[in-house]
Amino acid sequence: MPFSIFQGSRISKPRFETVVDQELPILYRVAVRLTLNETRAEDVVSQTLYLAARSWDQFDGRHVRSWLIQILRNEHLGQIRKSARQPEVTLEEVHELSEEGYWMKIDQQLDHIQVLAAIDRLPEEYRLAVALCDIEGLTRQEAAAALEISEGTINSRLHRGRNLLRAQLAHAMSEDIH
Amino acid sequence: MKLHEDTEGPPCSHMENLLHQAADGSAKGWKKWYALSHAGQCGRCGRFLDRLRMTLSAVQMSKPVPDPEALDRLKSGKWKEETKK
Repeated sequence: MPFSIFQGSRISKPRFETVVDQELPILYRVAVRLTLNETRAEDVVSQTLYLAARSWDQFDGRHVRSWLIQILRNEHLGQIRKSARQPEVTLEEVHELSEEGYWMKIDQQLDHIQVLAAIDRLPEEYRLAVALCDIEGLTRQEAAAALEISEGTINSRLHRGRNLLRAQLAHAMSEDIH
Repeated sequence: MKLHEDTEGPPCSHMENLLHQAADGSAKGWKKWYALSHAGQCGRCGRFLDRLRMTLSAVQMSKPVPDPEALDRLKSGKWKEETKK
């Protein structure tokens, strides 16, 4: 039976395998943005799936994506604590540019690698907000639940992250042009 | 008629949240109307909204495709044994 009613509640909960099929690409992408390293991302996702599978029977089935990302983030933090290793992130100095020409170029020429590199240069809290809301399309409520923070906090992180990103992309294009 | 100078700069401080919501499509109803109306009248907010939309569009188009081999490995990982218990 592909779906079951969970412990008499009215929420029908899919099988865990079905959830893995649906959510795995998202978890992997979020893990890569979080760890900035594909090997570490794979480790974190693997452990996340293991922990989620173990507690699937106790999970109420609501907001599964937020729940999985919450496990993923906690696992990432746990691994950092264990290895006393922080991802090396340096935020380059960014400049706000006024010339209209840069923005015309951005619209036409930005390549995906430059955009991802700019996202990866954001501090972790902003990077995660942008990755969840603007890449993965989570609502602000879902992202707030996944990160265990208030909606006000996700709003401010998202806005700050977008503004930094906007400035970084302008800066990247100005270097290409000159 | 433009009510503000058409110059580069931050958006009006009371508009920033609404402009973000207008840019990502989460503003609905009167909020959307108000944000777009203001951006249509105010040079700085209009430019901020245009560039934010451009940035978000670039971000959405850059959504990476995960390595299929990594996904295959993860699909057959140790979690499978937990689901059989």
